[in-house]
Amino acid sequence: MKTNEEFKQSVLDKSRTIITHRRQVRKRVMTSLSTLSVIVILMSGVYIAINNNYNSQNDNTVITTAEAEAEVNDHQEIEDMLPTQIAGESCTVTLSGIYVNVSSDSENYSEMITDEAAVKRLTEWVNQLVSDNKNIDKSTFVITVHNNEGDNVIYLPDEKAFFNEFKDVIN
Amino acid sequence: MDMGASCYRRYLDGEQEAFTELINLYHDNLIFFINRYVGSLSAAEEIAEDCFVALIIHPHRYNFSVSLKTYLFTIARNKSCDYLKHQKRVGNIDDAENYINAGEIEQLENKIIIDERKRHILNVIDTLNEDYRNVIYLVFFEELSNEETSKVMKKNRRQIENLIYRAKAALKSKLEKEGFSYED
Repeated sequence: MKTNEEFKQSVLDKSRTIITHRRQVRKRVMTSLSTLSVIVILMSGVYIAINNNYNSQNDNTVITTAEAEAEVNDHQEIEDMLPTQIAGESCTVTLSGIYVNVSSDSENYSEMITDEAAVKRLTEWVNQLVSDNKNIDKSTFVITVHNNEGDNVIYLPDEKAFFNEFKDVIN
Repeated sequence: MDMGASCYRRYLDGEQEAFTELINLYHDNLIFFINRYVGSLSAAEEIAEDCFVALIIHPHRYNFSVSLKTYLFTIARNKSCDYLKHQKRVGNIDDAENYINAGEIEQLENKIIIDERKRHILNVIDTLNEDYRNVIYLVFFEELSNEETSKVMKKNRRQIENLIYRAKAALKSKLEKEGFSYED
């Protein structure tokens, strides 16, 4: 049997061990929690970045407008509607022409194209562009398509490519 | 505030020496009490250590509304019950150790119960059932009140009074059988 002094020492040693162990456990838990919170923050950052990228990619590839400002969010609906009207072959709408309106920092140009062959070629080119789903930057280049139901505005990414393609049509 | 509680208060206020006083005050009685539950001196000593460790690592659990002795004995009883449950699961391997420690137990008994008459009664008490044994020990040897005993044994006051009555009757009958004479 232990003496009172040995007993006391044993009690103090035991309590010290328990307190140290608890501190270590608490420290480990705190470290795990902070690691977890960093992971959660990173994951939410990645999610937000992916979501933003997705939204920007799907952000009004084609915008219909009567006033050239109203944006239409339903991308699919516009895509379905526009090529049919532009082509002018499979629908009753008579295409009166394509009004090319360039309004960018470097260019300021507008012209109505009425030549049927040119309209057709231009339409196919635009359709191809839309179906390729290229990353279209709406701030660079605008084509307004006229028909008897109203205007459609298509934002094109590369005005140089457009002019190279249609230098014989556009003066 | 009882002496144990005032020692504990001084310890919580930073006086380390007060803890030694606490140990001196309750060490032997606590081990003896636990030993009556678990029947192993070394286990009793371990459990008594754990009781004092609980005082150090959970100081906020004792609110000074009961005497420290009651609080310590309550912890001791709970820990003893846990120990017995554990022993039931893993099996008791302390038999050889108990035999070795028999002398030490007697030594401890001598330390706590100086009166020869009391020791003889205690031997007879050992033959009673567990509740009778504990209630008699706490009330008549540790001199806890019925209220305090009820807290230690986790029974209500009425049950304790009944237990004391029945324990005394059982003890009286056993003592009479052994030819023990006592004053009315």
